[in-house]
Amino acid sequence: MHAVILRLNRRNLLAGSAALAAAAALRPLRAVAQESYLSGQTLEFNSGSSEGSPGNQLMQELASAFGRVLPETQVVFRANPGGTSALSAAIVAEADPDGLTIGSIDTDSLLAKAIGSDVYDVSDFALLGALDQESDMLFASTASGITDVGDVIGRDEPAILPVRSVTSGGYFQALLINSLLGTRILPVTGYDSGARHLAFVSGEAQLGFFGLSGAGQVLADGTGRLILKIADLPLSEGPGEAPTLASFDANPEFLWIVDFLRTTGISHIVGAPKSTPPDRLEVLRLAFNAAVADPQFVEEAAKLIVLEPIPGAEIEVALVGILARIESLAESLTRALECGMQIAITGEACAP
Amino acid sequence: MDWLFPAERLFSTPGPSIALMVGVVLGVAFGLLPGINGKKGIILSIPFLAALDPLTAVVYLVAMHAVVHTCGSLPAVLVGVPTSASEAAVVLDGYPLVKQGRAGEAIAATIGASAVGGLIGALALIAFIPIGLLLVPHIGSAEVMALTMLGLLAVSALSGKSLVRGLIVAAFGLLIATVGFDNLTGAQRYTFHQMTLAPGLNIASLLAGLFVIPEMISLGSRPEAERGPIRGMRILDIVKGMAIAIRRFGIVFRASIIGIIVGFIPGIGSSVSVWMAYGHAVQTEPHTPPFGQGNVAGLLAAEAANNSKEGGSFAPTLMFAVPGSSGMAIMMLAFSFIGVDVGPRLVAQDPGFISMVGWVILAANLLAIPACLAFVPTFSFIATLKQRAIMPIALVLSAVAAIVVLPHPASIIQMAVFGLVGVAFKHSGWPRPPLILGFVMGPILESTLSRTMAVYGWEALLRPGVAILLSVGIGIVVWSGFRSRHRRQMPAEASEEITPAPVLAVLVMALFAWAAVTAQDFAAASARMFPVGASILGMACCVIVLIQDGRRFTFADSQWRRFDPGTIVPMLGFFVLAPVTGLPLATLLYVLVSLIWAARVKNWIAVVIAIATAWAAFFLGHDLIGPLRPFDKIWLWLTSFL
Repeated sequence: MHAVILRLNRRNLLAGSAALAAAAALRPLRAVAQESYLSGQTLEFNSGSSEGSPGNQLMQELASAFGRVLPETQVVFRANPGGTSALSAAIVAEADPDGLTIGSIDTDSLLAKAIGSDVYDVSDFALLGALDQESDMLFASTASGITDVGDVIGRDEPAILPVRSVTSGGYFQALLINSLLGTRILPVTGYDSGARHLAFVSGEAQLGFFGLSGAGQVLADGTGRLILKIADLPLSEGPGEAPTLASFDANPEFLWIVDFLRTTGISHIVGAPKSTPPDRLEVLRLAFNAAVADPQFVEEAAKLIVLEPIPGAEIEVALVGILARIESLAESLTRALECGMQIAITGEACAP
Repeated sequence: MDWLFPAERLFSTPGPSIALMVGVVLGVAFGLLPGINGKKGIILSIPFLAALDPLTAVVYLVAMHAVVHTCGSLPAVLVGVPTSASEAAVVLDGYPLVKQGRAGEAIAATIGASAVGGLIGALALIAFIPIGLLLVPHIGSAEVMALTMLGLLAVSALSGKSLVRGLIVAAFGLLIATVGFDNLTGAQRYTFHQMTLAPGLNIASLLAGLFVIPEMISLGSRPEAERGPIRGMRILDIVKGMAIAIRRFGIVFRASIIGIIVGFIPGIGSSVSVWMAYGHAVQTEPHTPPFGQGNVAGLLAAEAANNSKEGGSFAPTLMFAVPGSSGMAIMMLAFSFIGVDVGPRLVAQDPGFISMVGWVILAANLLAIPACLAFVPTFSFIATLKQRAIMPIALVLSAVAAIVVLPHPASIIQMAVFGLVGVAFKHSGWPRPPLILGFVMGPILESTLSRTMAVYGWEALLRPGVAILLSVGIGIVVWSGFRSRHRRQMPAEASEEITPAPVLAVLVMALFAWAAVTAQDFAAASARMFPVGASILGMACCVIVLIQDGRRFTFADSQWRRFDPGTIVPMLGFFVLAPVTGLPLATLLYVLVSLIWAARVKNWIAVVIAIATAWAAFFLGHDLIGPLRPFDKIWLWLTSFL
């Protein structure tokens, strides 16, 4: 007879409490949804992640959970991976504010907008909630011979880091780390989730940013090792120990970056058009709360992220602070990015 | 080696098994129905795919596509009228057998050879997986870029009779692939701030416009084939035919290997594999009776190669995301539509998916034998169906597919616009497959080109894989040049004849010029490079075509006056009505008028078919577009009583 050992860790606790919360959350939702505008309607759920990527998989699971908690509503999932997730954001932002179109929103666009890109950012949406607070981890490919961050400082050739686009979080993070630590990381665009992994496996790229799900894969196939954590976010089961950005003696001019990257880590946000009527937004938020507590979703999400749902109203409050910081830092941010690119290409440090 | 037998994936739920059987039945039906084939079968299936889970949808698509050819040649064999170059090789010896009163033997031999060819092709795909696994760690951006260029060059050079026209069309495909948000910078390109263009062009509209509409118009301009009674279709004849296919396994096997090899190489296409296999049979098999007068070896070789090439052509599509033909490009798009990302990562992470495709092809071909045989009594009926009665229904279902992808009147408008492009290309002998390849591979080429230049620079050309692949591409282009010269002196058997079309070349060149100028307004500088590059390539090739065509063009070349008003007028009415009244009402009127006017179907049959098609359009695509939408309103009114 096998003994059942329940591992008491953060993820299991979350799963257990979520299952209990599900029952509680479903009751008010059913009452509202059955009489609400959603009954008999089609709710369109948009995702901007690449097909086959963990982000897309997660959003597809969430859309399915919406379908389960809103049995009288047909939930249609649409993947719109074009344009660095700007397409998906534009579709949601420009949809009729009738509460029938929602989608995942990318926090990377905050930084892109701060330096002048014409994109929608999270402040352009009414937010339903977020799934977690995630921080990327920097991995070096085993074939590259890089064992720690020191090996990336003062290299003859830049270490290639594959990213999706010039508005991706990884692109900004790489350049900001260069300006902070003097590393020589060159972010190269055009790699979606699959190509990024292949570049890592084939030795084309020496470095890679991965979230929890991607990191698991890299470690499982032995193609990379963790060399840096952007922030020391708690991970119950993770890829092991590595220094955080804060633990280095950094360029004092750009010390704000350490704190800044830590506070912008809210990820997998779901939103609706900005002018969605409050009563409909309330129904959607209730549906979001019920969906993230749906036991089947909790089980599937746990394979990809450390699920820690954050309510929409709470994010909107936090966002006010983040936006204010970004606005005040816009000039410094632009300078830090330019400096990071200069180090990557020429290897020369920036003049203060 | 768990990936070798992905039984759990296929049988853990009933969905994939049902999809396999439905795919086989529909594939057989699509193959037999005049005017429908594998490509159109995929387009027509799009409305259903949205309702399926990805695994079930993949099994259905693969099974359906795998058996389209298994009995697809039979109508042509029975009536002696080939509709493609590959069918011509089968008809050469198949129809004489039918005329000799041996229709049953011909049918069974065709089915047997086709099924065996399909099985060998499927096994080859599975056997190729370990090689793919070895290759993948050595494939970087530069190799993928070179492979993509090879595919584009090969298809441009080999799918028509003129390399330069192939390149114009490929450049056009690359250009229109840039419409929408740029994947590298997020900049909008050629969208004019219209959200309907933001996701890019509607692929279902593009496919329907390029392939369905030109076939319909071309069909209307020529008389329907005369068909007489078919003799010799007894059970004993069928058993005899199957025995022949087993007895002559040697030629079936060798022809299958030829089909696999040719299928694997991008751009060569089915007609080459079939004729190569037929040629091999002529060289190696006894000439009793002579070939062309009912020699069953010719029939067996052509049919085995025709089906085995499917396994071969799936390998580069699934493993390297490089489709070797327009059929595979459409398959790749359908995979993308259901959220399956093919390419090297698929091989590295999920080789079981590829072996599953192989097993599905294998199982589908086995199931196709009884399915085809079950159809034998109805072959004579199907072979005599009027293509003109089927094509309007195919057009409507294509429109439904377009609406499912993007529920907006713009989908119908795009379909009409690409219909015009398709008709112009077809009637001028410009090959259409490079456009699809360019459209599918444009984003891959743009990102790999950008990555290659950033990571390797020009040193990429020194990488062995890149050097080999690009050399092969250049070799194909040179060979194609020699072939074009040679072909001018002898009647060709395959694709459309080239008609001098300087007006078309001028129009396309103007479009390229406009695109290059408009690109200067894009928000990000790097977003301009690819469309401008494609435009420059297109314009340069247009100049060459203008020099060639300017000398030879006369207005007598114009084929526009051959168009049949019975086909054109109802179709134009459909395109005007559908965005206003919605699809179901437009369908009802269009199918009714087409069947009575062009197909000369009895009035009451036309009414029944029109109502059934309109109902199917409503059931599959709903009444989502158009300000009037009467079906939607009637439906809501009816359901309000429930």
